[in-house]
Amino acid sequence: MNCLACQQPIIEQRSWQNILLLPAEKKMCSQCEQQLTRISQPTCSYCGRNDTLDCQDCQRWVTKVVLQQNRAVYRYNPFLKEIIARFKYRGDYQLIDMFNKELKHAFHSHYNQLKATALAVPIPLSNARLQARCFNQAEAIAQRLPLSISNLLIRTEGEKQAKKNRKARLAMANPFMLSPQPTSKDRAIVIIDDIYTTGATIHHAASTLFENGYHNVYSFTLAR
Amino acid sequence: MLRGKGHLLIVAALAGFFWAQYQINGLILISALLFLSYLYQNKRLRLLELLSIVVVIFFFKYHYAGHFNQTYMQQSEDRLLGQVLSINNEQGSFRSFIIKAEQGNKVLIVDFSNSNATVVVAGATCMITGEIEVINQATNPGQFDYQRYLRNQGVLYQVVVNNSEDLVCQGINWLGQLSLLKGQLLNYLERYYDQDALKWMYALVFGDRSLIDAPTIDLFTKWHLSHLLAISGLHINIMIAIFSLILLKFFRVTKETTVWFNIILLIFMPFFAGGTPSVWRAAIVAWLSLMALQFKQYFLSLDILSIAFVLLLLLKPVFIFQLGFQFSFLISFFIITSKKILSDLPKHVKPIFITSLSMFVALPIQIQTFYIFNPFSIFLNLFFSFIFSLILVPLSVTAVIIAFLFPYLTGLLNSLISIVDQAILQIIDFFNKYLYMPIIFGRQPDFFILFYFLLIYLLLLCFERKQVKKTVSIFIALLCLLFVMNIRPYLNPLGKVTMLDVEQADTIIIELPYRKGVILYDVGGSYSGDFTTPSPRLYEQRIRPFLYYYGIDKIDTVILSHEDHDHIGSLAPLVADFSIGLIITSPYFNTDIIQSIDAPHKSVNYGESFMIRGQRFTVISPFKDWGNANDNSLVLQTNFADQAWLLTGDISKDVELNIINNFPQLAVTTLSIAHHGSASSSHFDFLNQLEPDFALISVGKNNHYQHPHQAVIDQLREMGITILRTDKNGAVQFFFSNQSKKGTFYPFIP
Repeated sequence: MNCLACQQPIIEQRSWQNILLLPAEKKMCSQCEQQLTRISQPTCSYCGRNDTLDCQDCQRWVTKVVLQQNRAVYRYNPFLKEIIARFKYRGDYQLIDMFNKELKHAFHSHYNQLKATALAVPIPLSNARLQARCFNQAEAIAQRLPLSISNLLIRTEGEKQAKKNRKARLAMANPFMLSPQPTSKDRAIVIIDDIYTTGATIHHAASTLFENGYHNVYSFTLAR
Repeated sequence: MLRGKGHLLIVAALAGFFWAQYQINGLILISALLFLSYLYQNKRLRLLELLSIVVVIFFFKYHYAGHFNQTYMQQSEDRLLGQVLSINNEQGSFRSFIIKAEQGNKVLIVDFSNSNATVVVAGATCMITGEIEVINQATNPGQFDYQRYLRNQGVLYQVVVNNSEDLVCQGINWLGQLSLLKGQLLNYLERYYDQDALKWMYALVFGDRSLIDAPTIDLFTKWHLSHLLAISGLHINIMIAIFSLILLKFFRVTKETTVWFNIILLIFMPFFAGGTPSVWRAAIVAWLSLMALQFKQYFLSLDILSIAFVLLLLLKPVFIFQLGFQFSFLISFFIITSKKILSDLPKHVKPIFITSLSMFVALPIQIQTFYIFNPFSIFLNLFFSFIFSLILVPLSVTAVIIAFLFPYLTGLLNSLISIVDQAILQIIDFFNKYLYMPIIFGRQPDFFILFYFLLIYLLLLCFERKQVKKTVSIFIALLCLLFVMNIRPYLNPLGKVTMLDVEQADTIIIELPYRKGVILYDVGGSYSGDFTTPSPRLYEQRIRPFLYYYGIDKIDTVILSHEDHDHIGSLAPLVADFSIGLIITSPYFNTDIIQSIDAPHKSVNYGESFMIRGQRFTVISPFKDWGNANDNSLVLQTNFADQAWLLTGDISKDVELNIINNFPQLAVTTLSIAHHGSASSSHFDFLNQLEPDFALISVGKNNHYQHPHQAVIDQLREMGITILRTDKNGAVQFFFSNQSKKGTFYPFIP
């Protein structure tokens, strides 16, 4: 098996811990693994970053109370940026498998209490973008979590978020509306996306849900 | 494919082997398959990998199935034509080799003719005249089973050659050529080196131990150091390193060429270096590693070891039965898998860890094979590992090369090796004098061994995870297990009386219930070929292994019936190995014979009763001095589980009549028949009064005296007495319980 990120063969020494019940096949070599930074405690209690504990962005969002909290797996460092770009824009769908284990593990440690009842709501793409990309990266992540997925949201416009600067992102009108689906409003919702940068997208999605009666909304992203 | 999972190939090969060997016992096979399917279910194994492992299982089953199915030979043939496969042993007046006969069977040829008229080399075609006989099987518990040993090599028959004209050979093949070449090489070395240096060069470079004297070999075995005499990975690596150095520095060969040179050298290495399993393992591992490096492939060392395991068993299926193979792979496997632990250990602790790990891993095989363990050997092992790997092996390899390149330097190396030789011998002598305190474990049930390895695995697992407390408690559990193994006899409510098969001699061993005491009645000895020099053969091959097998380390009392060699011949070596509480004889016993024996002596008189560890013996005879040793035999009566036994030594009919005269009420359940069933003993009246149910006869197969006499046998049969004799039944054992008052005979060969 070769590393999904760098294509080098993965060589794992045998030791007493893995000689009998062999370890699961790894998707990433240990060198690449070391370049990822997992987010460990303590984190900002709201957005889940750990490079700084009281972030300016959160001051703005907290007051709006549409979202309980965000949690993420990795820091958005240059290495992960490169991987996500390959995954999202160059269509290397398989890359997401590198994160299977860590996604599950992080979700388990942050949202274990939501497992039974919550719904995963991936941030949708506009139809045009989905056509171009062939897959929704948020949905790909959601599929790897132990939650049932519900596409409660629809995206109405298709401007690329990544091409906007911070100010434009924050000033943008809410691009989401609710898809008519028969779901109990008491259920907790976990919004799933690949990256939480300023938090604008997730908060647009959260407020759409909030306005439609979902008052227990969380979010979970691969990178922060 | 199977990268990092190569060790599953070892599991597969072993499963196939066990399947073939124990056709009904599918337990191992089923657990192997369950284990594999578990791995597959959990995506630890891909379908193709799973399939290839299953193929290996089946392959090895059929690989070995043929091995165990051998055709029988008509034993009437007395002329045998065949080709020499391998030379087993060649020393002085004796040589043995295996031929593949025309009929397809492998036959062991044992040549005592001491003639150099015929050169026997691999590939030679030989014509042998002699009787084709089935190889003797072991007849005592603990005895090395030569028949099984050879059967595992595919040999069922042997021919003993005594006259040089009965053996005619001609021809040679490449293996033979190679051994001749090796012989020439060794002859060349003899010009430059003394015996003291030469013996180590022979052993450590060419895998030929013949120059090391037997006492030294025995000492090395006793101190668990034999592995140092076997060529293994260490030696091969040193050889490769020195060869490469010479090629690179003196001949200015490129690195690339050097590696290719080494790859070719390694192919011939096993043939040159004695061809033992450890050489083969080391050479194949080194060869595969070099090839992988040359083709820029990276392999895990465990995978390479596993491939070597499978390859070697394909080439040499018989290796799986050899101790050297088992030790070699088992220890390599454990050390390689402990790589992570080793990398976390400080530098100076590593050798200690490796030595202790090797000792603990080898211990169960050591116990199951030799029943004995020498605990202080670990220190000597550590120390000698250094001397061998850092000094003696490099010196020996260099000495061989120097003899060809710079012969004028050989004097220096000669004296260097001789100094090391002296040091080694003195150190081991010192240890042997002051620190030889063996633990005699005895043979253990397989269950204990499995449990032992489970604990070792858990120990290493916790050690690797750095769980200190758990590691310590598992280690304590391991020591407890060893302790339990050691005291097992003391928990056993069954007592045991064994009439050992010591050929035309006598040895009866009594183990009281709960091992309250061990009593020997006679310790028969043997003579060497000339029938006059005492030989320790019976003691070393039958009596000592038996005592070790049952974990006996101390003998409370040795009772000697009379002075004949076939009743006391093994006393001297016995005293050297075991602590002996007391020697008991009759008052007419010639004590000069046991003057040199360092043990208290007591004589017991007619009519007297004496107790040994709660076991009562009554002296039935000698009533008076009969004037000859046989008739003066100390005849004893004792009870096991309320059944009366009479032990008679070599008394004749006169003494027997005297006994029934003196003890008209005497009757016994079990009678040891006097004087190996000679016609001069076993009087009708004697048998008639004693009315035994069982008659024990200790007698050698096809002995010169033609004991037991047919008249005695007929007499016993007529009286409806069950006869148990060592020449037919092997050792005859009586297990008894003093609580249930029951006892049962178990002949070794039913």
